[in-house]
Amino acid sequence: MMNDVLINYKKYLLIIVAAFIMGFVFLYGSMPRLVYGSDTLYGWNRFNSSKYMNIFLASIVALGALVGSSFPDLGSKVKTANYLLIPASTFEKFFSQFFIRVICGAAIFLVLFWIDARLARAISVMQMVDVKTNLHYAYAEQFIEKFHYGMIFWYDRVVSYSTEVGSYPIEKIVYHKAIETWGLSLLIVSIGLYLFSVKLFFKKLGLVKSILSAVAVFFAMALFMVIFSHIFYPGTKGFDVSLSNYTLQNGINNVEFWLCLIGFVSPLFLLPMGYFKLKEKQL
Amino acid sequence: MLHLISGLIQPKSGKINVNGFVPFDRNPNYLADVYLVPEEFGFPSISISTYVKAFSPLYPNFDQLKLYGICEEFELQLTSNLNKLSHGQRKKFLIAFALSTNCRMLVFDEPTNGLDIPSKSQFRKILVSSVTEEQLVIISTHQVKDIDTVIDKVVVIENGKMIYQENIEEITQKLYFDLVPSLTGVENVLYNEQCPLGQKIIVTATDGNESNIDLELLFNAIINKKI
Repeated sequence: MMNDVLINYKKYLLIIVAAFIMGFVFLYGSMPRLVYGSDTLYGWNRFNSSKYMNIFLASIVALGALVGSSFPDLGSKVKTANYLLIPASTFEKFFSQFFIRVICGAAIFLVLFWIDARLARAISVMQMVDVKTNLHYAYAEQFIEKFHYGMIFWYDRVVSYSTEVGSYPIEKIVYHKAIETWGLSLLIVSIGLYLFSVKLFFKKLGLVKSILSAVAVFFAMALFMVIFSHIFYPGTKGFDVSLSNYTLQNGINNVEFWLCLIGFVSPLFLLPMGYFKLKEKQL
Repeated sequence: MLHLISGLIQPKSGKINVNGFVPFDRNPNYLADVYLVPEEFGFPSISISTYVKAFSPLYPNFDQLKLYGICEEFELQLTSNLNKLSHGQRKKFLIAFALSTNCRMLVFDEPTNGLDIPSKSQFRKILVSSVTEEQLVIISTHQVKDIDTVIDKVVVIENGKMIYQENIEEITQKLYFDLVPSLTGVENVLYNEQCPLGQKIIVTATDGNESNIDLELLFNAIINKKI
């Protein structure tokens, strides 16, 4: 693991710096810095948790790309030979990639996003100007919500109160379900985990083959859902899918929950498979 | 064969055991004691010193002083970026690193390919001075003349089968290599080849006379089943 860091530290630093700058640019660019006095409470683009969530989900694609570029040494025969002959166990080789790309990658991503969000907010708040008076907007801090992970991961936010200061909007009603963040984040992480193992399974055209495999799996799943619908709900017609849709105790929909579970757990299966594939890899 | 020994491929049939290890298990202890210098190789874009810092801890018997000494002989700068060196220089570094690992088994695949004439001579000198009695060096080469002075056992493999195996000492006791203007009057010729100066011959050694082995001639004689 240490030799990987020693060899690639410049690349990793570059990725971190690039991610930091990109994240900041995205967030800062999305945050408002002008307030128009005539805006109504509901019409204004107040920067709240759902805005953070959208940018967070768009940014997490970068993490997926990093995870998907794991095992770079398995790209060519020469590099593969060098990699396989490094005096370390298969577990160490596999875990070092997982640790650096997935665990460290995710941790650094979360930290960078947090710093970017706070920094972008701080600067935007300082720069926020009321167009009517051409002065600094006194309620800028309330206009852009302070970022914390709870707002996008834990809260089933139904923020429904509003306060008006003069004619300026302070709060906006936001309906946001944390399951969406979790579901979409897990989906992206799952794709990342899927890509993590791609190089272990396919020598050439790994991405194309993995997309084809994913499409095949998706259709197989749809087919099974149709078959099961016919078995468990005899009234089902044609290719319809029957699913009992109900809300769980904490307000989460059972189908959403089920999709999250399937989406995240199934790629985990690829990890032990990938380990054994690496163990038995031949030149 | 080299890939089988180093653990890069699995035998299709039978079993391989080297120093009590099954190579394909790629046990870290085994990999730390076997170093393969492949014919084709690649390096990350880092300096020699960074490479050494990154990989030398993986070899418990690694000798840094030895590496510095060999690099000096090969005129390699430790600060040079490996990917900016010529193929020959990179090969020299790989050889220097391999020898410095002090692995019990060193496997060289075409080690002199890409080396210029002075470097080939340096390679022979360094190899002889670096390797101890406890180490086994396997050299696979088509450039037999490059290594004829450093080997002590000749093995010829044809179509995956070992067809000849003999120590240098035994060969010189049994066979005599000579260059004669013509074959007239020469007896017991086992194999001969025409050359600009006459005939290169292999005859049965007699009266304890020993000669330098012409590996190329020996190889051709073996392949033509004359020996």
